[in-house]
Amino acid sequence: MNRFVIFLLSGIFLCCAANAQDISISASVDNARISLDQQTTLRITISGNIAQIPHPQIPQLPDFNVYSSGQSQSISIVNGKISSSVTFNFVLVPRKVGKFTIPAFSLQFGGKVYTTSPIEIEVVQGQVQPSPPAPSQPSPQAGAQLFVTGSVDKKTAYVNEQITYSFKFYRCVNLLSNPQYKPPDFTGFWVEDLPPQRTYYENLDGQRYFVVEVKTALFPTAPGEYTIGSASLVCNVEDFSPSSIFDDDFFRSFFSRGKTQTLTTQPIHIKVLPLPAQGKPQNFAGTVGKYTISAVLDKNTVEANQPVTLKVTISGRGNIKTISQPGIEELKGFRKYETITSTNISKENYIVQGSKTFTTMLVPQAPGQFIIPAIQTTYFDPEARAYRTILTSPITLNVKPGTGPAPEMSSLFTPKGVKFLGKDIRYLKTSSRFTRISGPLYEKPWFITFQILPLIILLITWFYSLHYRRLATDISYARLHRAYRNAERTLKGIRSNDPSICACTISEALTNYIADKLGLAAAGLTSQIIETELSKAGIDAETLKEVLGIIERCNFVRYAPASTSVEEIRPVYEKAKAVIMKLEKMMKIKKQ
Amino acid sequence: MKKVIPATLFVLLISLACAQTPQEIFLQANRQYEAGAYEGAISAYENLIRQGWESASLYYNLGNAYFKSGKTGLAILNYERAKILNPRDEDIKFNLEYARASAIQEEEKAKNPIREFFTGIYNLLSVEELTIVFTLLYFSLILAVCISFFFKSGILRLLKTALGILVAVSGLWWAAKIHNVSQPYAIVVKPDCSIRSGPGMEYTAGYLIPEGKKVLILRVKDSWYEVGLKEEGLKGWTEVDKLEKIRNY
Repeated sequence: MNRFVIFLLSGIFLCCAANAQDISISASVDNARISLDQQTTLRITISGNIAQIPHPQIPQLPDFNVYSSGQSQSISIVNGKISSSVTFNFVLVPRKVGKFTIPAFSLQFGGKVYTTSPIEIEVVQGQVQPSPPAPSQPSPQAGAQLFVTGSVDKKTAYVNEQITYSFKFYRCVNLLSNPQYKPPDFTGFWVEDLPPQRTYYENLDGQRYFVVEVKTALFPTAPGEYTIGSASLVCNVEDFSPSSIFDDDFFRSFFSRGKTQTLTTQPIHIKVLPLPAQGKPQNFAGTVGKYTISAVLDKNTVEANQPVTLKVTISGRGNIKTISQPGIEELKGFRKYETITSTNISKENYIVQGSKTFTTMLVPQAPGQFIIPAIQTTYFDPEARAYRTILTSPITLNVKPGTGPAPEMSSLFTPKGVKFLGKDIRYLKTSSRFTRISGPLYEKPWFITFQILPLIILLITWFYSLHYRRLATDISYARLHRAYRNAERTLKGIRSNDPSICACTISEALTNYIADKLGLAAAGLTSQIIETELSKAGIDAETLKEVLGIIERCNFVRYAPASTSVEEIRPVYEKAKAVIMKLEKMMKIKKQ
Repeated sequence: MKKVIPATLFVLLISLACAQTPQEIFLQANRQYEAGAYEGAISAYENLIRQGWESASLYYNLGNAYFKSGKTGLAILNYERAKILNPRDEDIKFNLEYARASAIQEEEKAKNPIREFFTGIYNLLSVEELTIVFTLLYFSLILAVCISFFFKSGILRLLKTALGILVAVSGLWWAAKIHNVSQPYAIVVKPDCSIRSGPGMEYTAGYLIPEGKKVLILRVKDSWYEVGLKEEGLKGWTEVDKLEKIRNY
């Protein structure tokens, strides 16, 4: 910053027409004696009868922090003669205690060197003084040129009772710019601005002040002790330091620089009382003030299923925005829709007042005469220190039977979207098929059992399919499987009366069966092979003997057909049948 | 089975004695409704149910009668029952939505088209219908598999795959439906049902739920239900008589 300023100012010389030109330079500080925590403003003013004023060279100031605070310029042309003046402002913040000299500033212009006289500044050890930018006391003081006050109309109030905070700004000097008001910290209060601000003159200790008053309504939100913090006002006033060389009224108002001042008020303590518990009504919802209630219907006669609007208005003094909806009883025979609230607040005489309207749409469902009962609400009157209940008068509504179909409501009333207000439920079903009430099908035991059935079928089919496939592919398996059936079929197929043919068939059936069972070729099967193979297969000697006996007998009949009759063949046939059955059983047992 | 036959006989005898078929009672109740005698219609419909008859139309008409006489909670209960039996019916859906909107007055939810689509499909068949559809598909699949043990063909394989997918889809659908239907849902049938933190009047009432609200019964203790509100994520206890279960068997 320091370097920047020097860079800005040093070495910039502007040459202008140099004939009959005259300039002057001066330097001043607004306060030659400051404490370490204060600051002083260094003002360098260059004026002359030229249009372009050169910039001065400022020397190093090791004992101060230097901040530029801008420059101002004024140019006037009188009778063709130009005169201008430039003021450079620097804020000097001391670094240490002691006496310092700000050396002379020099300005080279038109071959001449202009210098200022050195300035002495004394920096003393920090004194107990208000913060640097606020040299004036914040408290009201007679004789002060400007001060602010903060006050409240009451320091003790009930919860939600209005407290009016007034901020007053007194001044008897001109302001250079609009003051900036920073309201205090209103934590714990519901804040309501009370415009407009009032301006008037007031005489105080013989001094006539111009007063600006700003009011704010406060509603405490909970009982307890609260502090309204300091309000502050930043303003720019004329400077009256007599250090300028143009030390008369005219130049003072013309060239003097404004001074920034911050004014603050004292904090205020507020005691907020809780609302008395004694006599507190059941439906009390925290409304404090003084109110009246009224209820009105938009029409007194309506057709069924057509809407009517019930407006309940609570008006009076108090925190209108926090008024809660009065309890409207459930109205029988009506369909009730969302309540819309609207508030209307005026701040006349700096008292928050107005009305809150609760608009409810009702749709009567059936014709008849209805009475909307009294609607009541309660509030606490802080002046009387008592709870009050206010009532509306009951309203009578005549509902005529509806004629046309109920219209659909406009979306005006329910901002969230159209609802089927005027519609009705759909009509009855006129026919039906009835079933007995019983548990659902899937819970019935027979149904669950039924679901398992296909799985069993599947399993059986699978096993069967395995067998089926083997029969088709495995010849020995197929022969084994079909041996008994084939033998039985062959035996049953005997129709002939010729004993030799019969014997031949019986023998064939038996040998074929044995061949199939043992997986041998039937053609070359002799009694001997049968004997060895069957005994190998574990058939006992008795059965073996029987088998061989039958074959032998058959062969005998075949070669000597004349000696036997058909009747003699029959027992052989029976025997063969029995033997095959016996063998089948034996083989099965063996297999297992 | 032994018990069912005498019971059926008994009911048959009674209905013979009264000489009124359920259809006749139903039509009579409808006439009462038309005349505006909702209470009479309600008792007639309820009587039919007590006799052991049910149908979607019966529950629907009973719901209408309850709605007209201002008992929105019971109306919603009966519409829900009707919807289980016939989830495709537009009238039932409409009246259920309508009764819900007027009772609960909740904000209309933004409709999600994808969700709507799937809900529509889900509601295409009732649980009983699905039971039959699934069973038929399942049997056909088994049959196809059995045949395929003996004959091989491309068509058969295709049929098997198609049936397999259908059985899987319908099975899932069916299971979801059964799960949904057998959840112990109940409807609040009394106005302003206060939900307490425990089963007893000494517990503090946490919140009120409006008549007609669908809640899930989590537990039963003495004459108290512990209920859960899924969407709101709330839980609490209320008296048994404040609720009516949707599944009445």
